[in-house]
Formats: sequence, structure tokens, C-alpha cells
Amino acid sequence: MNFLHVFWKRLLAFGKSESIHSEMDEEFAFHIQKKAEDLRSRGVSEAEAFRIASASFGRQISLHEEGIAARGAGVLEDCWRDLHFSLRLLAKSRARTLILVATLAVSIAMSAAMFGVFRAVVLRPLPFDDAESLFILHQANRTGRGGVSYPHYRDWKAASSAFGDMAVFSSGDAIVSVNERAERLAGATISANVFALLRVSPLRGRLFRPEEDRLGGGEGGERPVLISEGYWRSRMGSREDIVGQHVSVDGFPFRIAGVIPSRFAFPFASRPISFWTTVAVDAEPFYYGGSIPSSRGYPRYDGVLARLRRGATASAAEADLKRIAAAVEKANPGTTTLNDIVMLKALDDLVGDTRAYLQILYGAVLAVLLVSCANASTLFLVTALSRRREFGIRSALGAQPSRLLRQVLLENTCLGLLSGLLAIPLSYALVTLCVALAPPETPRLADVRVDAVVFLYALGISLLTGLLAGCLPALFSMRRDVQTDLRTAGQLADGSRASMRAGAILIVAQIAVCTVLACGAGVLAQSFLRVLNTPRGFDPHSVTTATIDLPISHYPQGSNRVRNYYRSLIRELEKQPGIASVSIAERVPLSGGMNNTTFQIAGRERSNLITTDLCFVDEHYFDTLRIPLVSGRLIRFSDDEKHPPVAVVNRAFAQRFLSGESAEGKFLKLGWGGDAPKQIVGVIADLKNKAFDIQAAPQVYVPAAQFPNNGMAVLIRTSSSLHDAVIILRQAASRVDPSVPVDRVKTLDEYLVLSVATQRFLLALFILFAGSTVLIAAIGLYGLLAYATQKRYREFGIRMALGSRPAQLLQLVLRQGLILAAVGIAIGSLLAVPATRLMSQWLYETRPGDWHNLVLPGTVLLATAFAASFFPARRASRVDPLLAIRAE
Amino acid sequence: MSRGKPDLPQGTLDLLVLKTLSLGPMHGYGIGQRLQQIAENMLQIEEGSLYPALYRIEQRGWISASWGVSENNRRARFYSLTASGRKQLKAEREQWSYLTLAVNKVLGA
Repeated sequence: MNFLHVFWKRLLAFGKSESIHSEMDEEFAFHIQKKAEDLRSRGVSEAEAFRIASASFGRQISLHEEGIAARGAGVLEDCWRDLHFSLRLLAKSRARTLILVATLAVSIAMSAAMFGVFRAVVLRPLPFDDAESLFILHQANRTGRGGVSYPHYRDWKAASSAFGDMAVFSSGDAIVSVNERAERLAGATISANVFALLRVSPLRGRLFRPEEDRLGGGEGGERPVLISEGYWRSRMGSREDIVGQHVSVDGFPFRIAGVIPSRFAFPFASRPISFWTTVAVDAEPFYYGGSIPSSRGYPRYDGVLARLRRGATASAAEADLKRIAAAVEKANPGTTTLNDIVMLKALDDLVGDTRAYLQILYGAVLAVLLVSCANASTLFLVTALSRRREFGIRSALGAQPSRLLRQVLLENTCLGLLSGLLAIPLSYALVTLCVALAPPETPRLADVRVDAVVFLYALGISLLTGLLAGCLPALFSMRRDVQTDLRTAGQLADGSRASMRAGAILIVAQIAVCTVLACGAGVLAQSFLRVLNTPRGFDPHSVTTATIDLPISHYPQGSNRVRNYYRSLIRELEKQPGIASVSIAERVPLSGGMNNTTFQIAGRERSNLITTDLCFVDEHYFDTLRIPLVSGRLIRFSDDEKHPPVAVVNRAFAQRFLSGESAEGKFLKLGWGGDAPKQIVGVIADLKNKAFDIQAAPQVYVPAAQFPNNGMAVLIRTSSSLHDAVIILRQAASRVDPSVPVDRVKTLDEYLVLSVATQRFLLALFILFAGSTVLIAAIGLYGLLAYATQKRYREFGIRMALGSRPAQLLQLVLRQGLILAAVGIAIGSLLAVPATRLMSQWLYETRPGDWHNLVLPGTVLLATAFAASFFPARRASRVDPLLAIRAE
Repeated sequence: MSRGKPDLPQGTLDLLVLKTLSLGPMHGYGIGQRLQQIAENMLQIEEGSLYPALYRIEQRGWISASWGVSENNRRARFYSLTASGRKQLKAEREQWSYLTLAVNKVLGA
């Protein structure tokens, strides 16, 4: 307690040392007067009394010192004075300070921005009560995980002992309209207990009731819907009578039962969820004939949300699930290929994939920070060397080593903090850049911002950087010999040689890290270019796409109305000028969608473990995308509902499943896409549906006219700009049915770029990081060589006088720089091999250990080192021997 | 201390100053005089030790200081014992008794 009191007093005395001294003067003066008076009253003469009284005080200077030590601000004031001194010094060498502060600020900003992204996307725990006990379950098999079918969910829920409660959920878009205004929004289908499981309370109204999971179980027979706080505020005007209002979802009326707070809008995705319906919608008869709740083969839901029972462990739960999976498979053999259950922590399920590459980026940015720190350290060392004389003098005058150390550390911490302050506005800009470049499906991307925590992180990092960068020169400044310091102001003596060696090691380390980052960037760039330039089996250029979703309310599934809509749309579009080809397909290649099914080739054994890609297309599809035919024929206009069912397969399918035999004529029964067996009529060339597929997957194409889907993509091959294409599409669609909107208009080229969004993000940031470190290391190398050259001025002068040519001196210094760089590049190359292997998940046909990956980065670095060494070398070659020898 | 009279250990001076001020507030010169009086001239405190001691004790919060007017109408800095100073005085007195008792025991053996 006393310590705090003392500290507080010292704080209050800050800046008051003047007044304390004058107070002491007054106090001592009073004392002397009184003493003199007393002496005079005893008969001593006035002059003598005064002399004795003053003498008794002795050395007032030391009394003042002791007094200030006791009453003054002490260490605080000393630090302040040191700070003042440091700032003045920094202001004197403005160029050096500016460069240092700039490089530190840039790297601090980058790491603060990366931290901001990492924290908001990956680190932040889910906002739910006891979020650690929440898990997401998926059906899975050896190749990967999928969704969950409703019957599986019910089986797991009934059989599980480790989990207290389970619920299903699935997100998907729908057209929501209220008061004549319709828009496509992100929504979710959930079982009624989802929010109760999550322990979320509604802002208004209520949550779903258990009976609302059944068809017709809603209040008054109406379908219930929950809306998000965001939707309530922005579209419904935050009206108080929100409960009981009606909205229409995909053409069906729903009654609003409650409002969910925005931060609890589960499931989280890149776009916030605006509304929730219960699983009762999936039981509606017009939705696949009401078969979803009983279909084991259709993993319709994204996953099962489950809360661990209190006291149960995750490993016990996993074992429990294994048992359940085996039991379910045994009881229902052959219904699905996904027979295992995989269990993930809710947060991991959301951010697990993103975490993997964000961690790499975060590691890379820390490497940049270290390089920047090492660079600052080198420059500090160099400066410390030139101030050895000053320190020598201060030491000789009685300054304690701890005081000098304190000053050096303070100076460097000061610089660090200054850089930190500069870094803060810079990090705002960088965070915006990161968010713009990041893959759009990154979860919680909208929550990334520079807030107080990031602010504190930036300041903390800058303090640490300053301290770290300063400790090496501080240590060096402590172990010195006063005599040598005072004498050798101009020459390089033993002490400074050690410093120079330390500086050289730091430079080599910086260049090594640079090399690793540059190799990373190089490998990513190669991979990226390869992906973009690989032939995909179709021509993606000049193709514009859009999606249309016909509401089931007006277009019953599988009906003629659906067929006719699309036929009319195509007819309308074909009439337009500038359109080379139009077609429809269930999805756009490279857009990330997928559909697959089990199948059986007539005459072969049925296997439920094999699936094939599936796509519903019209007769123009192969023409629009320019996919060549290999054998047989393509889908024709006549392949409609009145004619025998047919299908077209790709070469990969024929090779894998029909090995050698001719595909045409064989019959294929699909698990999904129509019950009647389809005759294969043709084989087309392979095309890659996913950007990173090394080989094409087996694919089956079914005529859309024989199995109409409500949601289809429209593809038009046109030379018009995107802007014009949008207008053409919208006009054509409105002529067919004005109530059906045209959404998501994008060119295939855009989809191609989006499909590699993660790789593009990694590449962009790695280029930024590698570029910054190269620049920083170059500055460091230049600084070190410049100082070394300057200190050897005299030596160079002598050499010249003794007959050396300027070119030789130039080579001397250049060699120094290039050797440092070469050693750094060599070390870095060795480290780059395991480092780039960390990224193999995002690389395409690029082996990280390849030698030619190192060629380009190595060359760039050597060239930069050359440039950095050139200027000091040139100065060395221009030494005037007379001036050099005389100057000291 | 003047020649002939033994030196006071530093901690003891603090104790004496606290005791002196317990008799009433006083300025620096007065404290020195009062101490000398009470000790019947067996002790003489030098200014060079008194003032540092005063400042130290003041910093610890055991005495407080304020400027006032002395008996001869001059401005002087008066010190007075605080509540925590009173506590400290009691504690140090006990410590002192204990110490002297112990030392005497050893010497008397």
C-alpha cells in the first residue's frame, strides 16, 4: 500500500522539480535565519552568527539532491528527460528516422490488419451460451463429408446418449416479398428446437414450437417464419406489431412468429441470414412429392447441430457416434454412400477451412514483422556505433550503465511507438484491402474491423518491436571500454567489429526470410497461372450466365409450366441480336455447385458406393460451351417428355465404368433424375467442373426437358458487354413472366476467377509481404554497407594512394554486399522447401521442392542486393585519397 | 553528531522525529531544537541528516507538511504527524524496545 502511495506522490511531483528546489531554498533560509537569531541572542556577533548558521548546513547542493531524490518524481522525471533527448536526436537525423519509422509502420500495420482479420474470422468464439459444447455432425465417408438426411437425423437423435439435444439446419436463398417488393435473401430451414438448443431469446414474439416441425402444425394452420433483427429494422421499419404480419417466401404466405437478434443469426455464413422456416416446408407435397423427410439417400440438410450433455466428453461422444453409425448402416443397407458420422466443434465447422490458410498468412506477416525488427536493429546498431564517443564521455562523467541502457531502450521504444501510431491509420486501409481481396464465402467477413483490440495489438507490437530492436544495440553499448571509445571515434576497432558482425548476421537473416516469402509468392503465382491457363474442356470466354428460380407456388415441380417457361425464355433470347448461342443448365461450371447420384448400369451389379456427377442441360448446352462430341450424338430437341429417356456421358465416365466397351446403347438407371432407365446416346469430351480438379470427374447429362428443374442457370454466348447482356436477359425474362427475377448475372470468366478466390487472396498477400521484406532488407543492406564504407574511408584513401583503381574498390564493396545476399538466399532456399510444402493444399500441379521454383526469387533478390550495394560501392570508388587521409 | 557524541543509526532518527512531532507540529529548525532539549543535550542532530530524514518520512506519508507563519512572523514549513505516522510511531517504539531488550540481554550475559 505504501508503495502505491509513494508512486502517487512521485507522479504528482512530475514537472515540479523547480518549485521543490525553491521550497527547499526557502526552508533552509528560514532555518539559517532562526539559528543566527538564536546565536545572536546568546551574544554572538551578527556576522559570526550568520557564518556559523550557514556553515552548519554544509554542502547545500548535496542536500538539494537528496531532497529531490526523496520528494521528486525520480525515475519518471529522468525518463522524461531521456525521452526529450531521444526525440531531439531523432529529429536531427530526419532521413534515417523517417525510413525506420516508415518501414516499421508498414510492417506493424500489416500484422495488425492480419490480426484483425484472423481475430474476427477465426479466433472469435461463437456468441452462444456455452459455445464449447456445441457440435456439428455430418454424414461422411472416406472421401469427405456431406450433409445429413432427415431419417439419419432422427435415428441419431433417438440413439445418442452423449448429446443432450440435436437439431437440423440448412441455409438457402429464397425470394421474400412483402408489400409487392420481392428480393432474393439468404434464409435457413431449421428444426423447431434450433434456437432453444442455442439458448437464444427472441427480440420480439416467440421461437418455433415443436409441433411446427410437422406439416400444418403452425398456429391457426399458417406457416410460421422467424425473421432476423436486420430484416425487421431495414425492411419492416422496426414496427412494434411485427408479430402476426405476413410475408411471402417463394410465393407462399408465412406468418411472422418472432424476431431473432442479429448476432445470433445461426447458421453463420458470409451473407447474414434474414429468415428461418421450419423443416415442415420440406414435407410439403409439391417439394419432391413430400419425400424429403423419409429419403435416406438425400442429405438435404447442411448438418446436425448438437449440444453435448453436461459431463459428457467429446471422445465419449465420438465413440457413441461410431456405434450409432454402424447400427444405422446395418439397419438400412444400400441407401446411401455416406455411412460414417463426422463430428466437429461448431466453431471449427464454420472456420476450420479458413483457419488453415489464414494461419499461413498470419505466420507470413509475423515473418515480415521480424524482418522489419531485425532491420531496425541493424540500423540502431549502426547508429549506436557512431554515438560511442558520446556514451564514452557520459560514462567518464559518471553516468551509470543502467542509465545509458535505459536511454537507448527508451529511444528505440519511442521509435517503435511512433511507428505504431503511424501504423494505425495504415492498418485501416490494409484491412479494407484484405476484406476486398478475401474469398467472398469467408465466414464472418462482414465482422472484420479495426477496433480497440486491434488498436491495442498494434501498440503492443510496436512497443515490443522497439524493445526487441533496441536490446541488441543496448547490450552492445553496455560492454565497452571507455578509453577505446573516446579515442577511436573514426576507426573501426574491436568493439565495433563485433557490432558490424552482428549487423551482418542480421542482414543475412533478413534476406533468408525474404527468400522464403519470395519463394512462397513464386510458387503461388505459378500455381495460379497454371490454373487459369489449363484447358478446361470448354470455352469459358464470352459466356454470360444468370440464375433463375421458378417459385413452386406458380410452377409446380416437374410440371409442363416449368418446361414451357424455359422454352419460351430460350426462344426470346434467341431472337436477340448479338447472341451466338443460348442454353440452360442446372448449374454453371466452376460456380461451385454440384449434384451427384448413385447409378446402376444395366446388366451390372448395383453398387451404392459409387456416385457420378449429374447435370440437367438442354440441347444447346454443349454448343454454347463448345464442348466437343467424342462419339454418338448430343442431346436433341426431340429428347423431351414424349420420347424415350436418354443421357449423355463424358469420356471419364465411359473409361471408368464402361471400360473399353462402346457406351452408346447401354442403359443407365440413376438414383436421382428420373426412375426409368436412360439410354446413353453419346459421349462428350471431359470438362472440369471444379477449378482444381486434376482430372475430370465422371459426368452424366440428362435432358432438362425430361426432368425439369425449377432452378436453372441460363448461359448465353455473346459478344455484348456484361452490362448489355444483363439488360437483354432481364427484358427477355420479363416478357415471359415479369414476376420471376433474374439473379446473379456473372460471366464464366468471373466464376473462373472466383473459383480460385482463396489462391488469389494468398497470392496477393504473399506478393505484398515478399515485396515489403525485399524492400526492407535492401534498405538494411544499404545502411550497413554505407556505414561500413564510410568508416573505411581512410583505409580506401590509403589503398587508392598506394595504387588501387576505383573499379577495384567498387568490386570490393559490391562483393561484400553480394556475399551477404548469397548466404542469405542459400539459407532461405533451404528453409523455403519445407515452408512452401505447408501450402501444398492450395497449389495446383506445382511441386514445392522443385529447383526452378527458386530461380526467379533468387534472381530478383540478387538483383536487389546488387542495387543496394551499388551506391555505397560507388562512393567507395570515388574516394579522394588526399581528403580521406587528412580527414579524421 | 558533534565530536564525542555517538552517531545515530538512520532508522532511529526517523523514530525520534516522529516522537518529537507527536508532541505537536513544528518546523525543521524547531524539531532539531526540541530534540536537543528533550535529550538534555545528549544528542545533536545535524541539518545534513535532519532534512533528508524529514523528506523521506514525508514521502512515506507518516508526516505531512504545509507552509505556515512562524512565531516571528516568517514563512516556515511546518510538519505534523499523520494518522499512519502515529501508527508507525507505535510500531517503531515496540521494535526499539524489543531490540534494546535483546541487545541488553546478550551484553548482560
